[in-house]
Amino acid sequence: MGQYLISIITQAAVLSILVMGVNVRWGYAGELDLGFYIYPAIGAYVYGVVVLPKANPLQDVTYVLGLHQGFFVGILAAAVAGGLLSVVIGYIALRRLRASYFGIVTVSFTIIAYTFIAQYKPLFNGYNGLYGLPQPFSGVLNLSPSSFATFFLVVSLVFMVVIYVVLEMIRRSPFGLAVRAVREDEVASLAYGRNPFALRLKAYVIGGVVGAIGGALLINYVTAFSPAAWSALETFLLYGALLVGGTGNNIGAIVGSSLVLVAFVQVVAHLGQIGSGADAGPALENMVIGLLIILTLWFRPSGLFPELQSRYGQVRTHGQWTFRLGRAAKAAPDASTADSASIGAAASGASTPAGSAGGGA
Amino acid sequence: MSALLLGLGFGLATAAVLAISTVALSLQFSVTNFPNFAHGEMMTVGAYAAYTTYLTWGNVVVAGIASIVAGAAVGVAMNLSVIAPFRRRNAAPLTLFVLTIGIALIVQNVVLFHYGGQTETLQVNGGVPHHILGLELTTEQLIIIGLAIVVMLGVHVMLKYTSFGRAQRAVAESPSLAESSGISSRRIINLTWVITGGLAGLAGYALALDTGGLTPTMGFNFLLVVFAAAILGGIGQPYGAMLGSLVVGVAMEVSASYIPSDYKQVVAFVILIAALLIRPQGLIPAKSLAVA
Amino acid sequence: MSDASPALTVDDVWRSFGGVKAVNGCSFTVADRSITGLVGPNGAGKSTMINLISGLLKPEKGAIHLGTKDITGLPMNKISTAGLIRTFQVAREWPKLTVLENVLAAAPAGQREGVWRAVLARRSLRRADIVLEERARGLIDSLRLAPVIDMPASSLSGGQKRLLEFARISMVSPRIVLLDEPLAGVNPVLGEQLGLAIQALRESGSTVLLIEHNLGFIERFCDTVVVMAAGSVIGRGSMADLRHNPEVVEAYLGQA
Repeated sequence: MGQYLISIITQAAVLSILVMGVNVRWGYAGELDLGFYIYPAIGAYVYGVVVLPKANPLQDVTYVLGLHQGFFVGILAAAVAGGLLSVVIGYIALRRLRASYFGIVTVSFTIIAYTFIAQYKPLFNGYNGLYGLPQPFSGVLNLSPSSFATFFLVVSLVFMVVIYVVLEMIRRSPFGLAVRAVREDEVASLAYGRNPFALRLKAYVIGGVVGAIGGALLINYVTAFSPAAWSALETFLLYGALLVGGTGNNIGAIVGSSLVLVAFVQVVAHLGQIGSGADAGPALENMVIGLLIILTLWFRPSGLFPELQSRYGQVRTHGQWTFRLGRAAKAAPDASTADSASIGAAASGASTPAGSAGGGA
Repeated sequence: MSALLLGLGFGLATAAVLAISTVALSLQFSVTNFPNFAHGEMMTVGAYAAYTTYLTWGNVVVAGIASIVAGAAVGVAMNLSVIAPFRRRNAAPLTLFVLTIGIALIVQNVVLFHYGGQTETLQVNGGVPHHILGLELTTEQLIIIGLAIVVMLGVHVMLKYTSFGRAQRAVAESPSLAESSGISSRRIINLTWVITGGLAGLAGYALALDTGGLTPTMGFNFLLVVFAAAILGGIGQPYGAMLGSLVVGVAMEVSASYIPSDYKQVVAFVILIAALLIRPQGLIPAKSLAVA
Repeated sequence: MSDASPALTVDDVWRSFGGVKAVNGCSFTVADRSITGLVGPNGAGKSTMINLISGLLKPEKGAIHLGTKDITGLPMNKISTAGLIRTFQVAREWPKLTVLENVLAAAPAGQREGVWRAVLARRSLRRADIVLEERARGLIDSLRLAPVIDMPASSLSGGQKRLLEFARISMVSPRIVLLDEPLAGVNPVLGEQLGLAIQALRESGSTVLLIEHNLGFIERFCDTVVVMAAGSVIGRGSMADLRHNPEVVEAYLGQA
């Protein structure tokens, strides 16, 4: 039972990082990137080929690089790869495209990349993918599999917390405010001297770096990665998690992943075999996630932790740019009325789907 | 040169399948103003309905009818149970788009749940080739091309000469103006979903005939090619859809003669991205995506 | 009025839409630190002119100068950073941002909006942010928006949104402000408040160019008035002068 818990909490932590990456694009900047999963994929692949030794063609395994480096070099390489890919795709896709067009184009890029990676074996070993990853820090620490699982859980949680802190600092910074303003009304931002394209691109790149780091952790958790592990569909599941947890909100990202992608999946798996065939379980999960998306948009379009109601995000305190984790806001005299008023306003704002999920529209 | 002709033949068949589906998407978009991400699933359901029917009764025509009915049923269900209620709430087009993603997840996995993920085969005439106009086409491909021509003509006649078609064009132009002229845009939209669903289902059947196989993700995989054709042609513009399908379909298959055929879809996406960057309003501009 | 170079110079600007000449050969100057009105019958091209000046549209011919700087054809955000702020006929706030955030987001970006700075900001930079926030709160107080300071801007009334616009404009301290029908949909009491806010803008050093249909308001608050009709300027001077200008009177025949 202990091992099981460790395993799913690790999964929740890593997936939270992925969903926080989605949140930077969708929640902060209003970019509907339906092809997001290419970034975790690139992160995983690049980490793999940096950490693995040179490919052994005798075993019918081919991939580029094979630098046999350590954990941190791998993570760094993954982050850089995610950033570079973001610059390229973002530069093309953000030029003139809006919302749904942007979604269609980004998913097209992902499918193109998927096709190349799957078909062109010399790159990342095609359909078989990368496997047999060395355990990180194996030279320095000699851990049994079960202690390593605990160790990696801690590593994942540390990464999750650090990424959360950094992303929150970004969100509350002048940059974060400018990005959110562009999401709200681009023309108003132009009228006040901002460059929406540059702001969106920066947010896009941050999302890509975070996604790639998540992917690098993911490949560590699974010790393998192949096209079977990622498809265009995976991105939708991440969005489902974010939507339910609360768009625009990193706490929502963490909660959403834990609930939708982990807890809920586990519940379904434990309900036993309902249908026939190996596909029945995953099919059921995805069906219900689809249903969750629709229900959430209907009843609670802002998700469980909506952006405006977040206690940790309110721009209320003196010296707001300083990150304060959970400190009660130093309130202005009439904050109590402002509080209830703003929650009331937020609630009425939240009851119209147009206002929240349509924030980018 | 024969490789080119072969590609051209395949291209016409693919273009035919594309055309049916893309015209359906354009019709729906013209009145509802958001892209339907579950469009591919209507195709998938149509294909599987035709498949099951064909296995039971062995008749291509009955299978075709089944695909139309199934597709229409999914379209109507989608509209009445999810999309219409949200539109009554004035949901933004982007919200509706995200909703259709949820619908796509459900429908696709219902099919997966019921049929399993393996590829089913659909062979109607064993792929016997006929020689027409210097091109080599199988019976299936001829059927598909014939279907597409019938559909194109039918849609054209409907739009231009029937009162429904006129009303539909009015609603597409300006829903408020149409309402004040006494047209119930709600009724037109509901009926459009029936037609769109039916055509999409038929396109699914055609796709199964063309590729010879069915998988639960077939519609979704095809969907992006459909978007490429729709956007190239001018989304919301049925005639543009026909033109866009021809270009994309032929480009895909002809390119397959020169590059590994697994990269066929890539060609469609490259066209899509290029189209959006160079001429986002499409070859025959109608309306741009309303979503900001 | 000072003898300084005009805050804004519009020089023979032309712009048409599909064959219809919206602005043809329009020329005028706006004196530095003045409150200048821009009036004219519907369809005169006033809004198009504002869009051309602010960079939302590009002129087909002619030149526009902000002080001595040529801003013809520049993108909107560059014109804004050069010192020109404009409002829109329908107030454009950032709906889900709070009132305070709206005002803060309007302040010129300067060096503050880098990504690295968000994470690595040194204490001196943070102090700059705190100073900015205090200034924002001061403006919000002076416009009596303090009760709603933490509410999303979308929940404000139309009048409050107009006041919010002034708070945002003041954060920038622009060289010149273009106000596009600020009184639209506003009750007379609030209109009075807006007029005072406009004067306050001038006090703080900005020039104001004001499009309005409410000629009484124009007469009260503007030093001089420019009249447009059919895409070009047909008269300029004080309201009293213009009332005796036959061309102007004819253009307005039938208008309030």
